[in-house]
Amino acid sequence: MGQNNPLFEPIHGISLYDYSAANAKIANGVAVDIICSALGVEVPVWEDASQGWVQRMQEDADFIVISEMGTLFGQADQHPKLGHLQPEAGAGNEQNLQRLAGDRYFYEELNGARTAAYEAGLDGARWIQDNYGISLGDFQQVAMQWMEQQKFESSEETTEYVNYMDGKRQEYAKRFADENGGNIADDVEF
Amino acid sequence: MGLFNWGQSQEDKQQLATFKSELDALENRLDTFLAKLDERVDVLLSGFIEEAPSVMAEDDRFGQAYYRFSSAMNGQAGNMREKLREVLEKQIEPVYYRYSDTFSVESEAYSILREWRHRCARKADEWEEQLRHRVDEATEQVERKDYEPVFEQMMNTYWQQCQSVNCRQCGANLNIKQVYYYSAYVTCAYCQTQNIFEPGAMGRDIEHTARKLAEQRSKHFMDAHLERKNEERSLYEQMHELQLTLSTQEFMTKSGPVYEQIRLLESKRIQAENEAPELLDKYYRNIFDELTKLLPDLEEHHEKFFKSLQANYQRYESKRSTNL
Amino acid sequence: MQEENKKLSFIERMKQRAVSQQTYGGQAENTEANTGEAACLNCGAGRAKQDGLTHCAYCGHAFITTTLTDGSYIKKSDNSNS
Ligand SMILES: [Zn+2]
Repeated sequence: MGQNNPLFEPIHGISLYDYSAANAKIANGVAVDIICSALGVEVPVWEDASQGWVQRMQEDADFIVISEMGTLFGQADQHPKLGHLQPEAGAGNEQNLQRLAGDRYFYEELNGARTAAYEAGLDGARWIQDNYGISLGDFQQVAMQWMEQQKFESSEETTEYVNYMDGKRQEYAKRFADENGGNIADDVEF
Repeated sequence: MGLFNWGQSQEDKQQLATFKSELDALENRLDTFLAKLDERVDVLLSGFIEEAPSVMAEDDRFGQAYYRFSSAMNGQAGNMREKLREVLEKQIEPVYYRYSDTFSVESEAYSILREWRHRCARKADEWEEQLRHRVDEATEQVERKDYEPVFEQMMNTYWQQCQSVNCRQCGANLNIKQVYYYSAYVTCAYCQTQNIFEPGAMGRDIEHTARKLAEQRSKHFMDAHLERKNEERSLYEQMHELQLTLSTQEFMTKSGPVYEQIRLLESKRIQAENEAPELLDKYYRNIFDELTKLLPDLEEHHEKFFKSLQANYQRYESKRSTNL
Repeated sequence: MQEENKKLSFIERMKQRAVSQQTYGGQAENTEANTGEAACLNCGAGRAKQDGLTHCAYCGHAFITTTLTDGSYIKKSDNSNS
């Protein structure tokens, strides 16, 4: 896509794919130094290129760059130089991650739980990491894949998933509230 | 039969009275319920306002604890909203449906029932609207901050830190003369060695703070823009109400004193409608002008960013056709 | 009064949870302006401006294997000649 578009010219040799995959890995806890060595640059070069990509996205009124970045973000694990990189803490829970990518209902459940966590004053990303061993970057990557998938769904299917997610959100909201002594208006009755 | 085709018989009158008192009782319970929820909103928001400063004071530079605290406050407001929706769904609507099937559409009872349902729904809507407004107000109050001194302080700290940053090779002061937003190679003026300069938290956060300050300095344009938009809507509603009072004669001939009044309102409305987008444009233009004043080296980027943003908000501009 | 205390403690609980939670990725650190190591890992030489950034002028070590383009702080002219 957009081979001749100047918006997609690599910056200091760092392509949009490099940039997107690197961000997915960083969100997964891979250190910036490791990313830089894999790309063959030093940190200031990486940061100058990153700034350049951010600016291009802000200057692109048609959101072409940002939507392409979303697609490439989901392909981080296929990146020739960065794909194999794992955070020092380990790869996380491979089984749960595979389930997240293959089981839409499981994904929607964690999605709902994450929203409920934030609404309860918890760090949702942290909650998923602690309970399922799935990092923020991996979660976002899988989310991108499901969003691509959604383009081919019927509206009934989409509604079904949205409702399932919201049901789970409410379920977890109750649980998180109970863990902290309930909601402020639990005892207000009609 | 005849149960709900109330006529003038004593028995019918009594049944109508029972029906009315059932609706009244439910409506009163709704009022009480909303008042009780309101008390909890008071507790929630006054507690939020009271505790937020101490959460912020202990927070890291990204404000993550405050973010969780305010998310929790919003979560509680959402929880009360859901409670109210459930009451409508389980206590009000079933009563409406239970009776509506048995009444004839022209009956007095049916119109009482319909108005009752409508009133209850409106009370709930108004309560929600009020809640949203109060949450916004509390959030604004807590987050209100004068970015002028904040920005100045950040700049001062940055320059101060730079004074003690020396060349790794020869020890001479690197004499940093610009704000670096991220790490950069800086050449030593004495030995020509290129150092890797790390600007630290101040330098890294300055672009974000500059943006906040630029928004603050431009806020009056946004306020004026919103005011014009509200004005336009209110004028439109006034016109609409007047239009309903037009006689057929006035309506057909498009003349008469009421019609003149409508025309007058329309000219004011068009003025507001034209000024609103101009003010929005001024708001964004001013933000980027201020940003360039604060961070002159980013001018070229600011101009391109503005054009891209402008293309997007102009895409959503639309004008009403009033067809007078 | 009893009621009031119970509700106040809700806010306390809400605050406690917000401030005691571990943030994903940890707390943001407040670093000061400073310099990092830029000398050649292979021979210890510094990089003079005229020698560019990508290769060591003394031993040829590649600091950067990509080709620099015109960015904000880094320009094409920062590529080493060798
Ligand atoms: Zn060397």
